[in-house]
Amino acid sequence: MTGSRSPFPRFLSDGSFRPVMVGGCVAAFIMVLSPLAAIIWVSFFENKIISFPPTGYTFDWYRAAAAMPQFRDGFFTSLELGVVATLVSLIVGVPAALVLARGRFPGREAIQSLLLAPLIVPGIVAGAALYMFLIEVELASGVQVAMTFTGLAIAHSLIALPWTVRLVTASLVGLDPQLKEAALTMGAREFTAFRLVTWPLIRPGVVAGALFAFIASFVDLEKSLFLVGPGMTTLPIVIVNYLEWSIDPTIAAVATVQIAIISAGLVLTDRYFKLARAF
Amino acid sequence: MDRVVEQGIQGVSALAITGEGSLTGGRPAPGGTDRRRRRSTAGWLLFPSLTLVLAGLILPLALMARTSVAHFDAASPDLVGFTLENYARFFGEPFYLMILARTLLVALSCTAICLVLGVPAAFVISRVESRTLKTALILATIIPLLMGNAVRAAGWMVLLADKGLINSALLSAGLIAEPVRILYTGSAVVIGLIAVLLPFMVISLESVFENIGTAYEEAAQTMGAPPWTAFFRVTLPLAMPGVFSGCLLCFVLAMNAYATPVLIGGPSFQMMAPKVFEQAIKVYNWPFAATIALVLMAVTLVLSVASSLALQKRYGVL
Amino acid sequence: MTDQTILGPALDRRRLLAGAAVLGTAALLPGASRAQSGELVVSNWGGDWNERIAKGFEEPAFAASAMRIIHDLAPVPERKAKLLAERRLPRSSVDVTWLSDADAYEMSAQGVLETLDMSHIPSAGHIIEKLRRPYFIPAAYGGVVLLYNPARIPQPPTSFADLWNPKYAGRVGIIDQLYFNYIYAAALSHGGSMSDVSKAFPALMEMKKQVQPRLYPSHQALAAAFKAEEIWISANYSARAIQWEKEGLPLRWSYPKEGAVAISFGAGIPKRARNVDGAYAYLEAMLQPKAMGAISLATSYAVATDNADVPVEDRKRLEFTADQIAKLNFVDYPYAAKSDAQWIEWWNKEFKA
Repeated sequence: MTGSRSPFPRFLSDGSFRPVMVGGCVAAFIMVLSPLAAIIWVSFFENKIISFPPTGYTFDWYRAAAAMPQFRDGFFTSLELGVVATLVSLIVGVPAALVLARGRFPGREAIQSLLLAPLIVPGIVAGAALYMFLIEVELASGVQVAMTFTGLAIAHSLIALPWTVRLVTASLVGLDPQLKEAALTMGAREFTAFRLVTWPLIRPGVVAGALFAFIASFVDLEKSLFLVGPGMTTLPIVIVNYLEWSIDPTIAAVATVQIAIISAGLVLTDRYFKLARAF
Repeated sequence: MDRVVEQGIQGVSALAITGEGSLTGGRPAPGGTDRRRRRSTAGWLLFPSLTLVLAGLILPLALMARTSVAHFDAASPDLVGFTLENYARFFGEPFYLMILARTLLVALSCTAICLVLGVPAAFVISRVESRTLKTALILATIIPLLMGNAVRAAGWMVLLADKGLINSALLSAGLIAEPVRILYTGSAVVIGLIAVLLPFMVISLESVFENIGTAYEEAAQTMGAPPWTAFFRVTLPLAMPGVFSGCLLCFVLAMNAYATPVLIGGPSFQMMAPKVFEQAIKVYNWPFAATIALVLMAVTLVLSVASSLALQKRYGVL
Repeated sequence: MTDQTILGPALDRRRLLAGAAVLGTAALLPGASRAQSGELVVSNWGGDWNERIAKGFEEPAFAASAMRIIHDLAPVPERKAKLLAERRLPRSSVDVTWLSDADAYEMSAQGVLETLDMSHIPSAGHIIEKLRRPYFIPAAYGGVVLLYNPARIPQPPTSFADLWNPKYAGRVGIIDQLYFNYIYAAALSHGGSMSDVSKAFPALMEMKKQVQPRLYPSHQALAAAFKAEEIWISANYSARAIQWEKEGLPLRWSYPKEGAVAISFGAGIPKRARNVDGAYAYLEAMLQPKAMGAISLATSYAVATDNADVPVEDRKRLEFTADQIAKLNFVDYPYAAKSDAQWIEWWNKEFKA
């Protein structure tokens, strides 16, 4: 394996293999990136009714979007929900992952499937079911839950949970149990051993889990559809409601801002954690 | 960033695996009182997450199952009766069976195309030498997931509309005389879903190809195998668990798709998840909506388990 | 604001309200100061409809009030479903809900809407007779009329039956969510009526065969199709036609000889709403001449009151003639409410498939 610029070692470059593989790769990226590129491009169009070629370019739509309170409110609601959901899923999921990674025990398969189930059930079904359930709870207890932040938080925590459980479990798998055993034999209590030995080693996994969990919660549409209420709507639903009336560069601007902010958040988080690990 | 991205990849590919594939089980457990102590702490550690899933998902689904056998009465909001009429209606009318068939067709087509495109992409990424290029490619796969389905659908509307980017480009290049109708057809839904699902497939496969390494391919080469043979006879069979888990994830996500079919499929292209929503919200027939939902989940589950068993017979435990 | 039509003897001087109407209501309602503060949840369609109503009516009327209006914006099916689901609950999350007249009937029949105490809404006397309902305060009304591209169809169409004209094959547009209006149009033009649409179904299947109508998921999509000249003729609400014409789309509207399918939009108060006083204040404020004028201009619909403050030039553009009003076909509410589920089913299974 020399430091060649080609992704393939020489023998795999013979004949049609390399062009076909690289061609397929390029096609895949075109598929995935084209809607993203289209939206970012359109957000700068001058003409309100989108048509090609554009008559000109402008930042006006960004200004217009910033002036609309529903986008700001939606963004902050989604942000709050994302943070709450991620925290809950970590608090609840990391201990679960610790248990699941220990090794076989009766019922482990079932518990694992249960914790991953929210990913498998269709979002629209889970959201509808949760809505009906919360109405029954409210009827029985008199406490309002449906269409409150709590109801949304429950749904979003469930969205986030499979991601934290699985990603933390995956990072625990590579962990040598003897490291912790060594700490225990030297007199450390269970929690101290966790804090000083296990935690630093699984931290990257936890961070990755938190990131994917946050993303999954932020972009969710289906689960939240039934559970949003007056004054408390998530950004994806605000966007869909807007799209029902018109598709113009304003919504493209909102989308571009959303992507930019979250991507920036990703980079920032990485910087912070990288620095921390240096100590 | 690299470390985090790597962790993410490992975890996502592990997420797709339904069996024991990624976890090395059978670690020797400490004996005696230690085991008992571990069991009780295990209980406490698992309790919160299990409660969340039970209260937030399982109980509501049980309520939904109960609703599906209730009688639909437009005037009364209460659950009355026990009847199988909703299921009889679903399976008795060709219209609904056709919607189920169409959903299956879309899901299978998307999975197949994602496989055909995802394998080259994952393979190329896994074999890239430069660290930064590899991370950049993986980020390019993940960041579109940040868009959310609604915005992505808006992007496709811009691209696929009769006066959209693709048609405008083809028209001005003189390749076509009249705009090609893509938006609000089944093809648009398939295209839109593929864009959603490819990142999952690519990430599932990438770490698998990464772990297999090049040793086996090199061995095949020393024995005189040309690249395609080496790939299909050596690399791909070794990657089978990853291929299967990627396909399964894509299939399930496609079956459950809601936003993409609704936004770019148009009113005539009806699929299962949008039907659930329509029956619940537009017709207020919650019992029938619950029935459709349960049929969707059951079909997805049965097909997943069946294919898992079938492949296990062929390739051993996945 | 110089509108001083309603002044009561006990003016609440603690608040100087921009809208004299609200001031007047405050004088009449007991505990008005309590009602004027706090939050009022108003449920409405979204998009530019809500933007215009908020700018044209809500902001001027309630700017100086301590009451804060929170919007619950969503398409009508979701809003109705939530109202229905909350029927059994001890409280409703919405105080004022905007609905069409047919939807309001349905919600009232299902026990969702409060029967309004008109003594709290003194301006209700100004509402046009035909539009009055006990559970609903109409703000605007219009009709489903024919839309056509004058360049492509030089002779204005005169009947809903023109949608069946084979000359327009491939150029007829239909909006999916307005299925009921097309059923009515088919019934009216093929020997049926608002209370018996049985003739509509074979007629619509004929339409499918003869002109292969194009189905669009939203008003927006239909507008885009008109602009691109993908379609030349359709049927839609008069206000939409007026609005789009103003925006420069190549279309005009014409009144069908069978009479337009009437629709009115307004607001009601769900039972067990939290801020009932505020809700009544909102409805009363809505009926004031200035507010009505603003709503008419904002939505391009004709107003529901006889004393609305609409500029003369706009009146001609926005309102129907007496003859047109006489011909309006109103929805048979009980019939519609009963048959809606079947219509959706037929539309999904036969027409769209």
